[in-house]
Amino acid sequence: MSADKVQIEERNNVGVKLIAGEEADAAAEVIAESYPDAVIERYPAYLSIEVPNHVSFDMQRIAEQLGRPYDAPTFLVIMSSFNGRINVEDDRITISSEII
Amino acid sequence: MARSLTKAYERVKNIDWEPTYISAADKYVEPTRFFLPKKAIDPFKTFIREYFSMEREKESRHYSMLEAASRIQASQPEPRWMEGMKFALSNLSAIEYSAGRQMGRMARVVAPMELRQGYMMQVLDEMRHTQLEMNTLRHHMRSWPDPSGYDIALKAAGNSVGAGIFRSLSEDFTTCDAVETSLGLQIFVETAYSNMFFVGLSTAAVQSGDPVMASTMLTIQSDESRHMANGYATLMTLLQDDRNIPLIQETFDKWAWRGHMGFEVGLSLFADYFVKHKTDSAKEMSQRWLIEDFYGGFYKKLEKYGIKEPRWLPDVIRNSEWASHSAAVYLFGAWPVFYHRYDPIDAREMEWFEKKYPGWYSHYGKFWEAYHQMTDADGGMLVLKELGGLPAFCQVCQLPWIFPRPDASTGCTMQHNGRTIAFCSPACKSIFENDPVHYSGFKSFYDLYDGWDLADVILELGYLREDGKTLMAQPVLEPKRMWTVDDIRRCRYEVTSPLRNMATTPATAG
Repeated sequence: MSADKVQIEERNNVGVKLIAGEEADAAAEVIAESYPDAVIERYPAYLSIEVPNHVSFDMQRIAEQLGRPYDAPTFLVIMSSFNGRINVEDDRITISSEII
Repeated sequence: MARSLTKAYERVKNIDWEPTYISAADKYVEPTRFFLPKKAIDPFKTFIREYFSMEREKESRHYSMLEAASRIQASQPEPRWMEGMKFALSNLSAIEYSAGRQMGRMARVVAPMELRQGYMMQVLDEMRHTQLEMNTLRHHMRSWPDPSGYDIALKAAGNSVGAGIFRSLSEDFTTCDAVETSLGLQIFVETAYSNMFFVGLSTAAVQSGDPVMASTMLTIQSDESRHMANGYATLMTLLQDDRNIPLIQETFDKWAWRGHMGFEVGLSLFADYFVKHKTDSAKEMSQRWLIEDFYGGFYKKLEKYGIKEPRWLPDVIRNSEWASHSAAVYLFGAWPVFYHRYDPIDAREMEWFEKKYPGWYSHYGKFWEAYHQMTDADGGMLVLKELGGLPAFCQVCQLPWIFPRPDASTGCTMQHNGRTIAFCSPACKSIFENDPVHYSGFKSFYDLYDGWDLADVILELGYLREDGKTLMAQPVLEPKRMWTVDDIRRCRYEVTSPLRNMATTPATAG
């Protein structure tokens, strides 16, 4: 019962899983506007956002969407998980598919 | 914005120092076989002040949910899920606690400041997770009509035969090279597998009417995001020195397999057999979260650094076809030595299994038919005895010798210091051979109970209800009459190690 060699296909999608709620909805709105290729899926307790190659979450734009101040540490409260290589900065959280 | 955290972080890093009053050897306590460059990366750049405010916010959101759930019973949760949680939560809580210990050790051994910082916050995260899970246990114990089993969760994580799988995994992480712990725990368990469990199964938690667990899972996973980044940072730091490449490869070979047997088998069992309202099968979850996201989206990209596919990945993939079903045969077959009520799959679900896993019925159908015939306490038939008792346990992963399938086991044995030792697979045997001292002391079910009457084993484990006679575990949710330890004694089943008279079985090629 020897197993064959497996073929793993390289994937370049990046994304996040956000705990459901108004902040996740606001982030999804902003992403849908900026990334026409984004795939946004809703699950009972979380929201999944997937984008090819690269995605950047702009805190200022999420704040405008929410109508109140918003920052990266608060975004990390709802960011349950991510795919890709992440970089957290003051005003944005960026995820890219390449190894950095 | 008043100040830039990114700039402040760069400034603060420059004030790290090497103490002169203690030698490096004394300071780092344990040596590591890896080569650690001085400079490291930290993608999260978290200060302790921001860390605490973030975690406080997470706690405040989660515990308000717990408070609301304790006031208002929105709907009756699904019994299968709630009973399965007795086993799941007891093990999870113990795994998280030991992960906290492992992080403290890593922070002592690993020199670069950025990595130490990440590990130290992870110590606190793991303590938080233990508490979140303890509070979920407490909530369930107070709200679920049958609290028996929830009340001994931590004791059972220490003495149940099934918990041996997770104990062996945790103890390996606690005692292997600390840098290896980072690569194995943060990359394989936390990046490859924890998403599948905490995010993937949050949907099942909601559909089973257990929003408290769904919230627990997702708030835990929000810390795991930093842990994934810790593992990634450790790996990228190590990759700066070519001498680390073969050491990383050997570590990935081991933990791709250990993570699969120690964690994925359990979570696939849970996804397929403890969820009543089924959506994705464990195999589909594994394909999406493990093969596509982890191996395709991350691991594959390490090829340019000279990292090859893990040695036993083909076996992992082959196993994931059958792992949940074989694990279910073990967990359901050995029901009297667990501590929850079982809800065996019905005829309608068998169709689902056959559809999702073509060929399922021909391998597992007989077991389930036998199981359904032996659930009556007055019947005097014990499925464990009638099917020939538990097989030998693997000395490394502590799973029984029934993988990938009971009718096609890759199990093998070897002689070590005058003892016959069993393994589930050539992979676990090879891991043992590379480091026998590490694994030879683990006492399996048979080392402890060979020759005992099963009733005495249950008494010793303490899995009895308040009357001191009725078993915590029951083979169906509502048996005609609850099984007692006397019913088990009447079945006359003596625990008998299959290794007693077994000749050595050589490893076959997978």
